[in-house]
Amino acid sequence: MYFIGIDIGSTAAKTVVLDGEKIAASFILPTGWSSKETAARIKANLDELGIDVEADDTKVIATGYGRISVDYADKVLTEISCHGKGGANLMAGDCVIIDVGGQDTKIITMEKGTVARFLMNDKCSAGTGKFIEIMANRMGVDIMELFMLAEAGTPIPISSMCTVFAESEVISQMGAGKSKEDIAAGIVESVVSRVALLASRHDSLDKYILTGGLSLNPYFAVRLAKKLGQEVVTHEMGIYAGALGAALLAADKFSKMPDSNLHRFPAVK
Amino acid sequence: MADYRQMWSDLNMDLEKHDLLCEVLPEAFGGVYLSQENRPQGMDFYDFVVSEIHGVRPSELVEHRKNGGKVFGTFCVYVPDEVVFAAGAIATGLCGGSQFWVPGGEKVLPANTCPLIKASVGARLDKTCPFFLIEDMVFVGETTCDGKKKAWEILNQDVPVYVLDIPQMKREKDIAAFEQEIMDFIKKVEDVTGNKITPEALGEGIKLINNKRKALQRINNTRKASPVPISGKDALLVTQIAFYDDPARCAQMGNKLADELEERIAKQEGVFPADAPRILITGTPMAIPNWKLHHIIETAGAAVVVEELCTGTRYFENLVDETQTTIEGQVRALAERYMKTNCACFTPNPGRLDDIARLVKQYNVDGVIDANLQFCGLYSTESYLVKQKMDELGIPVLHIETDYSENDFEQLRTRVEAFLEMLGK
Amino acid sequence: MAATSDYDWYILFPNHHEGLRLNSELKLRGIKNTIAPTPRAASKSCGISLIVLEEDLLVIDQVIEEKRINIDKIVQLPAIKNWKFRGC
Repeated sequence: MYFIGIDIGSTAAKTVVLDGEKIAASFILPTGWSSKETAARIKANLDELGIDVEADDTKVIATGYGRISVDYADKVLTEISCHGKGGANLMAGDCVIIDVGGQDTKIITMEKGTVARFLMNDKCSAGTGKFIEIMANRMGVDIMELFMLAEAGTPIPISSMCTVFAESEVISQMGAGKSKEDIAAGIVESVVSRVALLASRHDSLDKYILTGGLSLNPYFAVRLAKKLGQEVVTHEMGIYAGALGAALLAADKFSKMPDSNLHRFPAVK
Repeated sequence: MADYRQMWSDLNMDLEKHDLLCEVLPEAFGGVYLSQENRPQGMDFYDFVVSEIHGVRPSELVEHRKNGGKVFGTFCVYVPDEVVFAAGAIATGLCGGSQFWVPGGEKVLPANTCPLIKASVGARLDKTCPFFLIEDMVFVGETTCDGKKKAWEILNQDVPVYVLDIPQMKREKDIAAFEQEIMDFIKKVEDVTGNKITPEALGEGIKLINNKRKALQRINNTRKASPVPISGKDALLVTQIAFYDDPARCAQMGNKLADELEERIAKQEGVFPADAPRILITGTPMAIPNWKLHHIIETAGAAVVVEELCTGTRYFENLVDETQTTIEGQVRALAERYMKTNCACFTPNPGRLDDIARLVKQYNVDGVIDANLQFCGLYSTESYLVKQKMDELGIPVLHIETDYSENDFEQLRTRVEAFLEMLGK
Repeated sequence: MAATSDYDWYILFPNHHEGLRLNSELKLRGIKNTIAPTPRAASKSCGISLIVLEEDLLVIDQVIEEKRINIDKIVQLPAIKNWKFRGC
């Protein structure tokens, strides 16, 4: 019996397949223009792996902003429930999940294995992955390069809260001949501050895990930990937190086993 | 074909621009309202009013003007309509709830003004709303927020605005000050209409508005039942229309609807399953045609069972004492009643928190959605205290900030759905 | 009422009095009908119309005849499927 979680975010689509209690497969595809197409590609990928999403003993939960495009899903759930579930599984217990995604940033507090509270950024893109992407584009580097530059720099503060204004600030810094490293560090710091501010509006359990695309880069977590004054854990599966959570919730919901809880599946190492 | 074009043109409306608004209404209203299942029959009347929203009531107001009557346009639940009707004049709500009017407001107001104010000013300046163009209508502003206070000065360059000074605290001297303010308003209304407001007339005015409040209270009382006999969307529409409609007809139609809803309760008939999550909405007003949040919540499977809003309980909860027989006594009773309404423009404002807590109990609420319009500093600041109070009670709360546009619709939907998933129902 | 078929039927009127008259006559007879703003595709008027079911059209015709209700026309429009939220 397979439980599949599909998390179609604004930039990447993540899939996790659980076979019993272990992860049978996981993969990432770029979301591209159409999440319908992405959903079809995921289905084809799974087919190649010998997993038929339509099979009776295969259950699919879709999440992320493209969740409604997964027409073969047995259920759709929001990213909040799924990231919460997945993050708590990666932390093997209650914690606060900070997910910095391509389009929005979420702070989710898990208590007793379920979502107790959550916050999302307002509709502006400051403090999200989008902000970093826009700024990296402006500087003519990719996101990984931007982080590498940032690590070597001393942040030049960006005062503007709005992405559009911040962009012109960065342009004028570039024009003034400031070092690329310092500008990059300032950009990362700006997102770190926004995320930390959002997190500080949430009463914490002092156990933070960073998930989503930005969790691939340890530097971001280090800066965030410094700002929060608390440890922020990353996990190699961090980018899969939403998909993993969706797969776990599919198992909770559809498996014939007695009511499970968070700990039925040992934390994935 | 129902043709109001002559009237609109006589009112000096911008017909071409207005036509764009007429064009979107059928689809928007159809999608939000007519798509609902098992609506009460009594909603027919309200569907009719919306279908002819810029026709049927404005033509009554125009007729009233032709017969020498006066019309007062108001923007706030603190304006005592009783006084206006006591002088044989008509009070009508003017709040703008459409994105359509926002750009017009932004021509003269900062973009970071709340959409309610921008839309209200824009509707007048763009000449796209007949209610704002009734001949020599008296615009009655008030001092319930900084944005409005300054907007009146700008609106006043186009049309005279009489401003009612609403206190910001609720000490005895503030209530006394509001009494004086109502006295001055009586003089103003008498001057405009040429009619003397006698204790008998004011007594009639008080009864008229109380009866309307009682009908609205009856409807809302039925929403305590499970399954709930009327959707939040429909209940919101009834309240929104109450701001414009003739108060006596509003009471009559409201009572008719309430009869039907009470029958539904007896038959245990509802519009949502009995186990649907029950949501209270609190925050800033939702003026017609702002139905966005209700639509998101109710299409996600939850029922909005009560609104602690100006377009909700704040509008109709308290009655004015009807036993007073002198103007002084009646004005005191009016001041006391209006000062019971709890808006975030007061400091401190513990009454609102108590109201929410009480409504949560009375309506058996599972979760609170605290929604304020963008750039409303008062309500967004008070949201901290709302959350604190709900945490004390163990009631989950979701804070949302939004405007009239459609572009945050999917983001809002995600938040609301996540909130409902969290409620675990 | 929710769209179940591919088409919706709208009855248009010269004024709302006639529309409301038909609405109450139909209600008396238990014939399903919904007051709605007239869709642009049917007419440029900004007044009410009645949405009715196709299978009731014959009976409705009789009521219109019998009660001498003035109608403008009856229009068949494709039902809106997968409606996406829009404000107004």
